[in-house]
Amino acid sequence: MNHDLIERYIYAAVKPLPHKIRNDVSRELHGLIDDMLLERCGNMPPTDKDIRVVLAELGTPEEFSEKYNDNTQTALIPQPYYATYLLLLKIVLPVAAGGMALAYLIRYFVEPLDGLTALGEWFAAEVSGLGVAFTVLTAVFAILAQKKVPLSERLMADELPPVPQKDAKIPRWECIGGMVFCAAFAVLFLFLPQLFFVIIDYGSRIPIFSAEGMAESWYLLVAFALFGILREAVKLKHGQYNKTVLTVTAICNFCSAALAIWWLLGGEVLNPDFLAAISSVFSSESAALVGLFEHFQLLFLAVILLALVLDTVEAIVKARWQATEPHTN
Amino acid sequence: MDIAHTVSGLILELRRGTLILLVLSQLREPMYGYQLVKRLNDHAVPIDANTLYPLLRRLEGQGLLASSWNTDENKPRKYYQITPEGKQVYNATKTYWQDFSANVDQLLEVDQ
Repeated sequence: MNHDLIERYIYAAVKPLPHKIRNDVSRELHGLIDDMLLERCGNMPPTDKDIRVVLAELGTPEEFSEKYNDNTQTALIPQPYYATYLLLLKIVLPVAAGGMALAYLIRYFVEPLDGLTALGEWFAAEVSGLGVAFTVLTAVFAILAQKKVPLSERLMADELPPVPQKDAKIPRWECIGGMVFCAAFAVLFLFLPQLFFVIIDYGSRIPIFSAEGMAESWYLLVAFALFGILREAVKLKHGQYNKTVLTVTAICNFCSAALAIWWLLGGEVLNPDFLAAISSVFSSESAALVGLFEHFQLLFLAVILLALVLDTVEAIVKARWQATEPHTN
Repeated sequence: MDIAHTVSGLILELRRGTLILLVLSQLREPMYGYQLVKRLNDHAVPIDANTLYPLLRRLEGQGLLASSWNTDENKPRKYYQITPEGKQVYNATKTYWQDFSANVDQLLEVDQ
């Protein structure tokens, strides 16, 4: 009897299976093939032809193992995750591309670069940035699908939110614009902090922010931008202010505020040369002005916190208004 | 339109759930895989071994079947038997199937 053929078949059939069941399936498959040969040949020893016929009856090893694998998830990101993944991909990629384009456009007008160099650097940034955005989004959705995390509640008709009134709708452009702004914010501070500068002594440019400081706190900037993008994405998905949008906005803004405080008060954000230059230029004229620049971080933080508070207040007011106003469409 | 292809697809869909019900119905006593293949074949319900064996394992994973290796015979065999949970599922599904198939039969007769 051609044991080798049987062994090869079983090996190929169990190889793609999870390790913990391979041995068990292999033993069971051995028993099955023995039984089928016994059925076919009776007490006669099976020939090679018999073995081939029996193995052909079982189908290819690949078919066999495919049926053992749980066939409910045949794709990396199956439905219903795929629909949301595709929607977010259509938003995130243009937003990332737009954010980087905006940042590099600003850079082109601020820095003395020739067009070809600027174009090349922008293109390289787009390729790597979009690659990272695509990879991260795909990985997140693959994990969500694998863990079967529910993306939304399955609501009955009377539990569905009301159709938003025209005035209560959040315009799509506002959300997408917000996301582009967040992406541009991260790109500018992470890769192009030198674009924020003051001109002292007729042409000498002194960057306000420390490039090293920005590089060291990259994770804070990325997290800050991601919270902003998440907030806008939820607004975009719901299209109106409601309890979910309010909750997500409040949490994202709170986290963003904490990150901004950590970023601006916890590390070396300002360029030491900038502070020295400001002191030397204004020290004789205005101590108050020097003090203002010395506390530039606090001023910057105050602006960010004010914007976050205003955004949260807007969400609270509009969500309450949407909940209490009679809906006439 | 490929009629044969469409028909085979529909038959596959019809068989998919029914086979589980049949497998549960036969495993009130312990049986090994090939024994069950032959039992179903003898009752004109053909099933490929490469369909049944993975199905048995899946039902075992769902807690509807339990298995044990019997090494007392001249070759070791894995025997499957329905669990108490499997019996509950089987009884509920069987009742539904009987009502459903009776209704379907009625509708099909009206159609003729």
